[in-house]
Amino acid sequence: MSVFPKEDVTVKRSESRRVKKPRSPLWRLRMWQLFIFCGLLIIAMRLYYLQIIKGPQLTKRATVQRQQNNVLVHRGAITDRHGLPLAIDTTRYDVYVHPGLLKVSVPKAIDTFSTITGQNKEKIAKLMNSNYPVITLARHLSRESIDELQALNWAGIDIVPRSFRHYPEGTLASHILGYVNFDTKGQAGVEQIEESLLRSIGRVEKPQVDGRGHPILVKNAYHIWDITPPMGRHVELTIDNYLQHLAEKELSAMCKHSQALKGTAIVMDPQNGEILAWANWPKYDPNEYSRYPYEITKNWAMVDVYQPGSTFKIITVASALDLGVIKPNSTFVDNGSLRVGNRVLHNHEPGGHGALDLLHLFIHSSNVASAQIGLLMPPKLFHKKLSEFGLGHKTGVELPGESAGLLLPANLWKPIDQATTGFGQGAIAVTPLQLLSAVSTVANNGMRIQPHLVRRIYDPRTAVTESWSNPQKTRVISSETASLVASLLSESISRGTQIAGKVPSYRVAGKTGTAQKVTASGRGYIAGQTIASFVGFLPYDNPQFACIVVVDSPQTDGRWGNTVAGPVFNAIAMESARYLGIPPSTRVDIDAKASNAHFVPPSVKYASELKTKE
Amino acid sequence: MLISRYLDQNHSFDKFKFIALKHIASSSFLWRSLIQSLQCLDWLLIAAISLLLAVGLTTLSYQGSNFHSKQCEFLLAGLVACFVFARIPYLFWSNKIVLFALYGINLILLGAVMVMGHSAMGAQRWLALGPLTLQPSEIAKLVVIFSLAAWLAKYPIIKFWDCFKALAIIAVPAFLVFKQPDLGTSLTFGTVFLGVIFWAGATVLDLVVIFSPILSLIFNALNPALWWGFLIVLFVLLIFWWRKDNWTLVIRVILSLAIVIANIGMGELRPKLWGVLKPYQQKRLTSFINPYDDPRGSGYHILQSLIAIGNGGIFGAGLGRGNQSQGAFIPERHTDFIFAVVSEELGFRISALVVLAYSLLCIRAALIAYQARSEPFGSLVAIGIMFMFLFHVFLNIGMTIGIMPVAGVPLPFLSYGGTALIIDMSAIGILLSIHLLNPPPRKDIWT
Repeated sequence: MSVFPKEDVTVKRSESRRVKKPRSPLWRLRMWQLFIFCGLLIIAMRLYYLQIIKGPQLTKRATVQRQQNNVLVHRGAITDRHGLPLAIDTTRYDVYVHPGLLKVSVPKAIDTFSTITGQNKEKIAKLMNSNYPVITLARHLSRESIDELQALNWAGIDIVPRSFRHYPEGTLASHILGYVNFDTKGQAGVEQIEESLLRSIGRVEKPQVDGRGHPILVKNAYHIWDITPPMGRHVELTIDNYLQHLAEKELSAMCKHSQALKGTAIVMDPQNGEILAWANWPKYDPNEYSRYPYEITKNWAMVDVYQPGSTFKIITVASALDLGVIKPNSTFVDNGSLRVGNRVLHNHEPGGHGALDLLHLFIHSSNVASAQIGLLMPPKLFHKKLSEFGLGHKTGVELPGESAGLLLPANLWKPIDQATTGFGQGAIAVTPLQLLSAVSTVANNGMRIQPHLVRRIYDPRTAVTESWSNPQKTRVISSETASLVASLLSESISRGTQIAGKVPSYRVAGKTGTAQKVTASGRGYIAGQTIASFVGFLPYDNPQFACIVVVDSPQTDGRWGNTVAGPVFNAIAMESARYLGIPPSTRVDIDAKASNAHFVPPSVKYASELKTKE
Repeated sequence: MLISRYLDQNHSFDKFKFIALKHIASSSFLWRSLIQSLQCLDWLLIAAISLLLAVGLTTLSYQGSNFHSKQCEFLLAGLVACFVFARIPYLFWSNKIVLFALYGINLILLGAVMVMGHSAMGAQRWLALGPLTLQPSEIAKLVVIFSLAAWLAKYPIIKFWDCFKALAIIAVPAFLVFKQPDLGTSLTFGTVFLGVIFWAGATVLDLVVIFSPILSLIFNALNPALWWGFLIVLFVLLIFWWRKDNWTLVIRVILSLAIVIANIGMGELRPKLWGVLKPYQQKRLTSFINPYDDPRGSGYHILQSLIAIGNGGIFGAGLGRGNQSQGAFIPERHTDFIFAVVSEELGFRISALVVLAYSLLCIRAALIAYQARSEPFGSLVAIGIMFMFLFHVFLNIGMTIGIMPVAGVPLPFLSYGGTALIIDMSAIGILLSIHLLNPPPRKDIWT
């Protein structure tokens, strides 16, 4: 039954037998028409799906595909508060070799490469004979080596520029800056926390390349590469280069001298929460970060907690005064020991001090009196006050991995915890940064300001500031209480016999601390090991400088906060006051001659010793 | 001689002449004759071709080098060829001497290509004739259509075995083209063959039987269970409906069994046949199913083509502004993948119009075949040409939109290529000639 007409068959029957003409109907035509229709309908539907339904998705894919991926983008610089660079990006070169494309003999190539890159010949030979189509000959080569390589003019060598992080000041502020790994990713410190801003090049579109890798010139709404290569945002820290150097010098001198495990010295402006210097010991060089273990590269002053000891009495007294459980003229009886439940608490030194007012509490650093104040406060209120001081919470400083400290919830407190917390042991453990922040609150008339490290972030192209840091401010204690505590502290230092805090011409408010060191398991204390600390601010009536010095496990100078942390504080405070232009206090009642011996900074005092050690 | 014989036979032409004379008598001769000659053309067909040529030439002019000017020259030659073929009464091609000469010359040309053709991109398809290069496989398409049509016009498919007599005609040229290698064109022969034998009287089940080995290869590759299902369905269909009038049940059962067993053998042989193909050919055949498998290797072309088509959206990126096509992502953007370029730069509006134009072209060709049914040769040639276009369009566009394997078939009228364009225009000329000499029946007040 084909298409051809039937009538032919009927009309000319005799002919149709000779030339067999098949019969006809329309359905064969219709079938082919259906066939055409279906085939082309499938095409049309698929086109509709691709172009209209999946269109936007595929357009995005096309855009992504055209963007050049291996663009050289420099991280923004990290500078101190005056713009001095602490971390900058430079250009280094990676060299890839295609052994198959080299037109020189392999031994000659190995010779040349090893002289230029300064690598071992066997190592290069092993790479060259490894049968890989491409080998990585060297990474982060300098411009000079690359010039030599290019002068060879050999085929089969790929030279790829890469951004390379350089820390011009070496170990300076290394724990704050952090470091950048091989994939140019920030791994610690400000490098990690501000990663996105340091790499953000704004609304600059990436260049486009075609299928062969040639650039496509595109008209853009925004500015394109007007700085080449593009650079991320600059981060300006609150750190002061000079003070940072000073703090690191003094701290490391003392830590080396006393053979301490670790130490920290943090300088802060209590009136605005800016951290001016933050020295940690031991320090590391972020240019060669991989050589140091994690224990050294971590910023222990905000990651690790310690029991603050006597320095915490500032917080206890300030809280108690603010809560109204004690009066400025309250007195306490110190018999040398205090029984709480089935435990007996002692002072640092055997023997009691009799009746003590608040001033003598600070002068003698009486544990018993502080424990009594702790017991006077209801646990709930005391805990709330401590929380308001920022204890048990992260301070919010712009560094990764901060610890919140340890503060037992109030409902778990027993009387013994109340008592021991009064002198900074037991239910409390803080980071040095937290304690400095809390003491700064007292210094700043009871107003707590979140400590911060980043001053501003600005655009390298226009130098326009994109954001100033905006720290949180909260009222913790009344300004009367704060000034009372400050004057008590200042009075205790000038009347006391300790050397710590005795800075010529300045009235320092501060407190030493010598805490017993908790064992790693958290139960009991390590005999003979202490954490020596001093926290203070100056001048006491208008503080512009606050500093904490903590030295973990010193082995010399009696292991006291007074004798180990004190000189470091004194040296930093003395020079900082001069550098910051803080006017001297009106009343100078320190016998300059008698205390002169204490004013020799550790870096000078132990200079000869440190030299021989090295 | 042919013409006069033809005119004598065709009474509808007489009717036409009669009407024409009436008109001429009643009005200005020159004007009327012009109108007459224009009315004889198939304007829908010409409109479709014009649109395709316009889109093709416009797109090519933005694809760099001198494709556009060269294609214009080819088009000029193509128009001449179209005119010439439209003016030669198509029955000329059914003349035995002409046909034997054409078939013989074509075989010689195909043989010559194998021996002394120059190769490009891994295939040996072109024959250098002085400054020109000729692609005999393109000419072979027309010659094969003529030969098949002439044979089937004289010996239509009455019995099943008649199909194989027709198959013999295409076997030699198809094999020669396949060896070039040009899989696309040899598959075109197969498709044209299937379409034409159906038009000449083969039943649907005949086609199924002839096509079943390929189906069973595909099903076997997809899923053995599906394959067995297909075989059972095939067996049942064949027993109950395959040429019921010709054969008794016994014969039908025997034949059906034989065919199913042959299919089983084909399925079992599939891994070995697959092994015969080179790995790159295997990848080409399968990569369209999931181009994301190997986005940088075998799937690259399809993926880039898909991205380009999607990137066009509704309105397109604008001529010369397609980032995918101008950005060297699409391979062979002036020939095989030109549809992707059209889709990206002109958008869904124009690409859908192009598909519409192709469907119009094919449907007109089918209608011409139907209206010429009183004259078997012309009718079969028209169907053959329709299948040639349909297969090319479906394979090429299917390839760019990822529903067909990559076979390297040019898109008629759009792809850059001299021989292909001239042959396609000639085919249109032949269609016009068939239309001219077999006009649609008119309802007329005088008859």
